[in-house]
Formats: sequence, C-alpha cells, structure tokens
Amino acid sequence: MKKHSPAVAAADHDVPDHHDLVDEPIVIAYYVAALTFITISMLAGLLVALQLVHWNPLQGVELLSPGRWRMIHTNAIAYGFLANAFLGTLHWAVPRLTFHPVASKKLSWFIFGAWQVIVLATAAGIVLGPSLQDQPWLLDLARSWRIPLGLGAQGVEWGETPFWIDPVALVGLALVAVNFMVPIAKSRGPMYVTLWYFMAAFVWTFLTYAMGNLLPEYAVAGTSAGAIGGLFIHDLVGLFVTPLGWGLMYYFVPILLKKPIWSHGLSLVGFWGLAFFYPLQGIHHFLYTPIPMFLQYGAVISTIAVELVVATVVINFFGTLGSKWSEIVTNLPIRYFYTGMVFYFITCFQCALQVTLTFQKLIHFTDWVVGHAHLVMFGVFSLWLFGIMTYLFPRLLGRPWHSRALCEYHYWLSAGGLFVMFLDLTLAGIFQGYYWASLQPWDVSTNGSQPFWITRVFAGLAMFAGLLCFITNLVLTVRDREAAGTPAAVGRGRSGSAGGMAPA
Amino acid sequence: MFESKSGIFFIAGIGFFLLAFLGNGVVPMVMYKDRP
Repeated sequence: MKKHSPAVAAADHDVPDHHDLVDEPIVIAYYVAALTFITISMLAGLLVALQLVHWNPLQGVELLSPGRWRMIHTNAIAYGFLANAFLGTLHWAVPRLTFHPVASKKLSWFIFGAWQVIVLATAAGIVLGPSLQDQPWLLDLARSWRIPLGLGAQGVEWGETPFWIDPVALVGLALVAVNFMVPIAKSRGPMYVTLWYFMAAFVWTFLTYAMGNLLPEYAVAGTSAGAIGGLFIHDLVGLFVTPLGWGLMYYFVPILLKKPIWSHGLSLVGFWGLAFFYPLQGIHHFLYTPIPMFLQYGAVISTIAVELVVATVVINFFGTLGSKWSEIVTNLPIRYFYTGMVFYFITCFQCALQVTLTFQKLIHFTDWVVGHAHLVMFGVFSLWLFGIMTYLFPRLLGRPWHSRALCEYHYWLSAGGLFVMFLDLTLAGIFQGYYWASLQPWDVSTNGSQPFWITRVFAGLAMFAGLLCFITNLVLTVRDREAAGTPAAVGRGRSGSAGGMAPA
Repeated sequence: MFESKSGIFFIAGIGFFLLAFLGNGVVPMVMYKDRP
C-alpha cells in the first residue's frame, strides 16, 4: 500500500521557514477565544443541569433564564469554541502543509475580529432578543421593511443565530474559504489527505450555513422547512466539524507517531464515503413526520452506510498506530486523539442503531439524544482539539507545560466525566422512553429522571474542573515563559518529544 | 479525479452537496408546494 504522511508530502520541496508561513500570534488568539467561549458554554450547561435538579441559582432572572442559557450553551460550543479552535489550528496546519502562507495575514486578523463579533452578537441576540421582541418600534420596523420579526433566536435548531447576523456570518465564511483556499490552490504536487477534507469543508460549511439559515427564514415553511432543518443540523456536524476534525487527525497523528498513514486506499474510501453519504442523512432527525417515507428510508440507509465508512477510517488510524500502543500511555496528545476516535466509532455505531424507526420510537426527544450529542461534540471533537492544544501550546509559547500532572488531570476529568455523562444520559433516555411509552403522567418521567440528572451535574462538574486545570496550567506556563524571558521559538518538522508536550 | 483539486471541489464539495439538497430538500418542497 502506498504510504502517505505530511512529512512524505514535504519531502520533495524546499521547506520555507516556519515563521514565514505561520502567524503564531493569531493561533494563540484563536485558542484564547476558544477557551473563553468553552468556559462560558460549560458554565451555561451547568446552569441548565442545575435547573433540571431544581437548584437554579438564577431563578427569576429573565435575561438568564434556562431556555436562553441552553442556546448559549450550544451556540458557544459550536461557533465559539469549535469554530475558533479549528480556525486557529488551520492557521498552523494549512501553511505548513502547502508551504504557502494564508492569502492575507491582515485578512486573517479581520476575520478573527469579525468572528468574535458574530459570536458575541449571537449571544446578545439570544439573551436580549426575546425581551425586546414585542417592543412597538420593532413591530413597526419589521412591518415597514418586511423583515423577519424575531430580533432574538431564529427558530432553527443549531441556527439560533439571529437573522440579522446571518449575512455577516456568510461573508465571514466566504472570506475564511478564500484565505485558506489560496495557499491550497498554490500548492503543487499531489494533495495530502488533510487538504481534501479541508477543501471540501470550506465549500460545505458555506453552503450548509446558507441553506440552513436562509431557506427556512425566507423561502420555505412547514414540512419542507423541517427537511431543510434536518439537513442543516446534520450537515453542520458532518460537513463542517467532521471533515475539519478528521483532516487534522490525518495531519497530526503521523507527525506525532513519526510514521505515515497506514493505508492511502482506506483514506480515499473514508473521504469519498463521507462526501457521498453524509449529506444524504439529515432527514433521519425527523422520522415519523410528514416528510415522504422514501426520503426517511433513504436517510436511514445512508446513515447505516456511513458507519461502514467510519469503520474504515478508524481501522486506518489503528493500523497507523500499529505496535506503538505505548504511545497512548506516554504521549498525551495521541491519547486524546485515539480516545476521540474510539468515542467517534461508538457515536457512529449508536447512530446506525438509533436512526432505525424501531429505535426512534423509544428514544426520540429523550436524554439519549443529549448523551449522543455530548459524545460527539465533546467526546470526539473537543477532546481532539484539547489534544492539539496540548501539543501546540508548548510550541507556540516556547516553553514546556508547567505541570504534566495538570495536563493528566485535564485528560482524565474531561474523558472520564464525559464518559460518565454519556452512559448516564443514554440510560436516562431509555428509562424516559419507556415511561412515555407506558403513558404514565409526565411527572413520573421527570421524577424518575432525577437520579440521572443529579449524576449528570457531577459529571459536568468533573468536565468543568478538567477545563479549569487546563486553563490554570496554561496561565502558569505563560508565567514561566515571562519569568524566563523566552521568546516563542518553533522550528519546522517538529515531532512529539517529551510525550508531545515540550517545544523541542 | 479522486485526489485532484477540481475533483474534490466540484464533485465532493459542490456536486454531492447539491445532489443531496435536490434529493432531500427540493423534493419535499416541490411535493408540498401547494400546501400552506
């Protein structure tokens, strides 16, 4: 089998200097923004969890009501944490893979600022919008300009971004695509797997956002809008987060393991399988609805098919790991990556089961789905990004981590807390499904859910404690750097020394 | 085609997305266009 890795792709080129390629301050800026938003998101999640166990510390505060915090929780993780962390890492990976800097470093900083404005405006819309909704001046404005009435959240799951932010966000996504596509277009020779995923992701993200936010708001309603909404929420995970995440795994894993990807053929199967089957799945979110049954069946079959594709990708990465199992113990970023891959396989296996009509009868609207969502968004993509940050921060700061122990705490509290939360909510979902199927009063199901919801609070606290360990460690590492007066110094062709956690 | 920029951009990026959008988005729109 033909072996491929970023290092192999680099072999025939004169490698430019790292500092001419990578704008390190913007990577750090994106990571700081990402960590800020995940802190807010996890706090919001904790508040909602506390509400469910009747211990909401903000009871009666309209602007901070649980319904609004819930949307802050999901939007801050998707657009605040994941998007910022991915953008930061793209500024590292794309120039180093293509040997060309991004189209414009000024444009990069503009996009960085604009993206933070978009995320904050979304938060403002979610928190303030519903309270301003029925103001007379707003009603007049909406009537005279024939614009959608809602100042606050849009009624689209994962698309709560208020309608007045959507055009700005779309321009931002187009600029992101241009900024990274230019170096990809300039690159010569065969494209490495990572760049396949990145190229496709830039196209898919723009199209997905436009479809999901504009069509239901302005063009379609009812069942048709439901179908579009289903495509949107699934494509956001499958065509925005997933290709960027796997693309980065194809980039970082061979570098850290110092060996090429096991099978180029399986890489091809994984990419093209995802590209074909993933966009066809969205309607599986709305089974048993008036959406035509042949489309529902098609979505179910596509979802089961993609599980087979995912299996080839996971096999490829474990083939790459080969006999280097000890790396999972000693190399923390690699441990994050492979933990995320195992969780990814579980979440896709779950998907193949839960999209069947039989299974949906039991688990629809239950906490099973919440557990599934946390497994994929935190257990897979957040863990991968934590692993990448654990690897990159020492290189960006020119200092090893202040404390290996705090890094370990971060891993175990995050992965352990998430796994407990996933098992807890999965079980809660099955109980809730049977409560509802037995037609008992609603209160019976909520009372029966209390033990699971209490467990969820503690699992969430563990995950939040892990994040605090990471942030504390980062602050202490920055202090070490300032005390030593060390400038950030990163050479090219780095490999994972000291368990991937030191700059050398 | 499978590894070229144009193949990935036009077939995987735009082509497959549009195929899914037509099949799963436009079909119900057309089927239900007369319903409120």
